[in-house]
Amino acid sequence: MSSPFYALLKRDILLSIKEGGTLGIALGFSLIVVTLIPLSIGPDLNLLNQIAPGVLWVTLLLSLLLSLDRVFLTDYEEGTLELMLHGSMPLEWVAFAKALAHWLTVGVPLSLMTPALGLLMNLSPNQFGILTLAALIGTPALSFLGALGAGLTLGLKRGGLLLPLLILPFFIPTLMFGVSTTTGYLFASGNYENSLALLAAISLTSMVLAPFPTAWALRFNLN
Amino acid sequence: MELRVKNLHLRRGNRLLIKDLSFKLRPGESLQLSGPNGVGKTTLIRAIAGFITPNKGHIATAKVTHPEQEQSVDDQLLHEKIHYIGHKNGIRTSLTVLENLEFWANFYTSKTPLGKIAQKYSLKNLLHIPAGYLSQGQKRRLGLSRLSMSKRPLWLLDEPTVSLDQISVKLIVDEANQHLQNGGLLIAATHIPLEIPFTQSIKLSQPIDQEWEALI
Repeated sequence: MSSPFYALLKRDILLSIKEGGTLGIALGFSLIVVTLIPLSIGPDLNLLNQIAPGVLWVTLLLSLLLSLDRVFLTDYEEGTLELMLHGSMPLEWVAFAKALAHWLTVGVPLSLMTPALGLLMNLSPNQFGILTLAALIGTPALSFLGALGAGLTLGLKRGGLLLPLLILPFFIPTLMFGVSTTTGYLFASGNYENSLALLAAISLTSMVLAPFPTAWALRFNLN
Repeated sequence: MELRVKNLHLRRGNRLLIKDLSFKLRPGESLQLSGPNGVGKTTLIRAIAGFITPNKGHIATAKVTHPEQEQSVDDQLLHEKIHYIGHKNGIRTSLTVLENLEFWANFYTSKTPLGKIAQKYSLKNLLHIPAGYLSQGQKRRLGLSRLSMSKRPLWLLDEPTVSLDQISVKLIVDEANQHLQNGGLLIAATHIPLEIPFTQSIKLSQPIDQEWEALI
């Protein structure tokens, strides 16, 4: 089991380094969106600080969404996806490996960039830790649920446009508990552990459950 | 292994491409599919490969060790017994030839040394070139090299010789004959005559457009 799994994971990480585009766009997009907020609402530092968690989480969701349509698309077009059906590894593990590779190559870098974005929102350096931690714990759910959306919209001509409509509603729980973790830590005197635990629960549940419908969707779209 | 196709009906859109097709393929036997464009050769091959669900009938494999008590191997395991060469080569163009080879070798948990495979398919001088820069024929050879990576009893070749030069065509023919001698099964769709001693041949003809409704 392990060897084909690591081969696929390694290949997808290598591909994201070589092709580069998706991560660059995701990082650039989130930077631009967060830069626009202070410019549009003016130099009210208190206000910026208040809305920072919400703005950062929405930005995280949207920029991760941008890269999701590529998860299966190129493999589908170049004929590698159908051949993965003939591997010794079930397609569910293929879906898991590809979603995990997406998280490692997009989710993790985006999470690590949140301190830079926090700076633009007038957060102080001692608040960066919780921001990054919550993002790291919350983003696996986004990658795994997003891969499901990518699998469902694979055969469609303009699937990239349908994907956000389909999958954003499923991001809401992650958004809610991500924001409440961050606000809890920043403003409610450190009361954030419950939200963080729920955030982790959502991620773990998505990692376990999402690959099954994803593999089903892939099989359906190869038909 | 024995392949059994029974009363197979395949529909694409509202066209019934394959109607009531049955055949058996035993170890060492090969089947040639022929017919004009659009009669369903690719559809049939993709159905056997497990990508397309038959509208009626079934595709199964059976072990042939005990001819009296033949056991049907369940369809879930069929996919590990197949090498499928389709129209797409199944290579990632932004990876180098070597990276592509390494990935498939690991994915198939192949024990064959990559150097040997590269040598056989004349890819040795191309190893560090991104696959996107290869010519059509070279890409095809890279795709075909999967055949040598793991031993699988059933080969499904859909126009395997497209854009190959004569030397490479001979290589594929030799590989296929070797595979058959070892008791493998082969199904090939091809327009040009290949020097493979096909034991069976199916000539597909133009599909029926209407009758479908009455059949179900």
